[in-house]
Amino acid sequence: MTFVNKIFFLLLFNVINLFPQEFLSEQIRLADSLFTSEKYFDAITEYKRLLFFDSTKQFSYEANFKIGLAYKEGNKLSDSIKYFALAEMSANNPEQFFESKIYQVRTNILRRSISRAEKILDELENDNRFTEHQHEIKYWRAWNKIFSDKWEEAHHIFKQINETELAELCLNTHNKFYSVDFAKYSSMILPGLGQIYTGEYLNGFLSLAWNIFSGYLTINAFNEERIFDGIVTANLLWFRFYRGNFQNAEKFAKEKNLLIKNETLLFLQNDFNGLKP
Amino acid sequence: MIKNKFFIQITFSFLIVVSSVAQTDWQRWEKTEPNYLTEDLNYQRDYSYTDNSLPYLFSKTLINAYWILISDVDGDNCPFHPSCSSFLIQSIEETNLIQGALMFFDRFTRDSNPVAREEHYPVYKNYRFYDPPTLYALDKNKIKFIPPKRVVE
Amino acid sequence: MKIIFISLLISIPAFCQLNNLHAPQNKKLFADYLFCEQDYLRAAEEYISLGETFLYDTILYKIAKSYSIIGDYENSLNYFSRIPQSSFFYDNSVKEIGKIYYLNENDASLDKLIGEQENSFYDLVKLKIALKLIKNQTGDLEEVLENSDEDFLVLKKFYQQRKNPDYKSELVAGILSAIVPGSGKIYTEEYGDGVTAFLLTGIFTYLAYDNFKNDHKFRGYLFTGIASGFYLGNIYGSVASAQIFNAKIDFNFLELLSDFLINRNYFVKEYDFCK
Repeated sequence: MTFVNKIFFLLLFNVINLFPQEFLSEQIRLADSLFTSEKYFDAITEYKRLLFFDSTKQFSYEANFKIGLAYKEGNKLSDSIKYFALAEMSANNPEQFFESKIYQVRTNILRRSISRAEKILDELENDNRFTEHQHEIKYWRAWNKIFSDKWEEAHHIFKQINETELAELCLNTHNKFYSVDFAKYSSMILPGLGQIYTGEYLNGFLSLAWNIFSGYLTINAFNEERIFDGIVTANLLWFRFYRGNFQNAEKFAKEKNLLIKNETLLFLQNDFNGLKP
Repeated sequence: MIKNKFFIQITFSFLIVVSSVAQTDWQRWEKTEPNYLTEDLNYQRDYSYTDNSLPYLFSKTLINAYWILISDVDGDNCPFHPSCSSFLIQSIEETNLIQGALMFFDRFTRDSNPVAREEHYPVYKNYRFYDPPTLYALDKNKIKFIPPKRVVE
Repeated sequence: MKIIFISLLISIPAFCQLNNLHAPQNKKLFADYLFCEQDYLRAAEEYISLGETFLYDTILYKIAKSYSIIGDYENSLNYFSRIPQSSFFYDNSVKEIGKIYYLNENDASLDKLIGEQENSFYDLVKLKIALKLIKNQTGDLEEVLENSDEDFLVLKKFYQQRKNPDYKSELVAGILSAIVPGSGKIYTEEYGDGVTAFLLTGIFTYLAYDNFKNDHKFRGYLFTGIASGFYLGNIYGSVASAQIFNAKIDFNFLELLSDFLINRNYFVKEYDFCK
């Protein structure tokens, strides 16, 4: 390469590099303004444009992260996670890395991919770069417990990090739950008991009545040595109502627990003001 | 010719693989609030009356009584959606008392046959076999065939 | 030396424009990228935002194709029909239009499209045949199918299947079940249900008979009622079962036909814009 050629390319290089900088900054301002005015679909287009022309990848983290956020706002969780992962790969420092990881956790919680969230949290917890972020890691771990139906564990973790409001909420919810096992096994011992325990009185007493009646018929048949009748009533009546009885007790307990759980979740979704996934 | 076919197959497999990723943005979307709630898949009974005809009122009352006194108490015995008693009431609504009764006897036969149900019925979202009365009303326009194992929303 | 500086001088404004991310050239580059990333809606909108003067045939084709893939057929038709007759893409865009009419089962428009073409477009005719087969209008298809093209042979097979489907007769199913309970269901290939129906009817008939014999009048009548319920219900069910069997035949036919067309890509050629 001749000297002149070298100068030529140097100049060319300068020119190419000089102009983009301005345009790229302008571009990210445009995209950000779309993002803040909640036009997420168009914001993504502009961030993608930025990524496409950003040959030196200086905005790679920022744009990918914002795309992830935009998808999250649109509840497009899988896409969101994908872009947070891309942001993670182009993170320039540990803080950015942590941020993108935490957002992956939050989106995974919303997507109910609980084990994935748990795994990322484990990674972060064991990473000694992030020892002063333990509070945040624990906070999201507790949220993950909420979405995995482990309200008591969530309560303990929230309590550890002094999030009293959430800790109490989890504990209250946990205490309101009916014991599914108790409902089931108590009904096995005394038909109808589990149903009554969950507040289904009519069903409980009907269950008890049917079991007494069909049990009486069965025993009576055996007493009078009508073996065939006895076997038939035992199978078609008594066994059916007995099994239905504890199945129902279990079902009611689960249904009631779902209602209790959804009530708390609805509060968290609509009225809770703190940080949430 | 062979080359051409090969080409199409390649483009198609490519389309299928990647399009599953890109489809989110094939339609404009707006901000959406996340949903924290867990869906209740349990089937809720409908005790209400929706018709005024005498056979309907009569049979619906009988069925409501059956539901409260027996069916709700004797456990989960019906593998189908709609359940046998709902099937009966829907059949009567769909046709008439006599035809509904015949459809019910026919349904009871299917209910008693435990063989190869998975190979035969589509699946309703609460994990029951989907077997609606419209298939059996003898009206060809109402028959909508759904292949086995497919999940019905 | 001079040349270099002159070229540099010229290149500066050129770069200025090139580097503006929203300049037409860059928009086109970005749109091409989106198209290849299968981000079709964004690609189409980006191409359109270039403005009318930039919409030459390749771009029109790509916009239309994008909308077609997304399933926005109205826009797709609009852009496909704007491709001029002189264009390299014209023939294929006509086929793409035909494909959309086929997918929307719009036979009137498909007929009109075929009528408008100067050479008879065999690929469009194939779509028309397939559409007629879907709608089960097999009346005047015989002569159209007289072509030796490979696809026509396949379509001919479909035609014959449609004309003589392997239906089961509702009448036969009903009569069989009336003679031997459950046999109608076996005829419609519901073997398990057939056997069950036979057993249920048999058991309740026996119970009725046994109770009458032992002078249990009430139980006798009760079981007679149940037995006749199963008997009549089974006749009814066999007829219904034949109908469902036939619906299944139709369904499978349509699936196979649709598989064939998808396999042949609706006779549309695909271009690879993303090499």
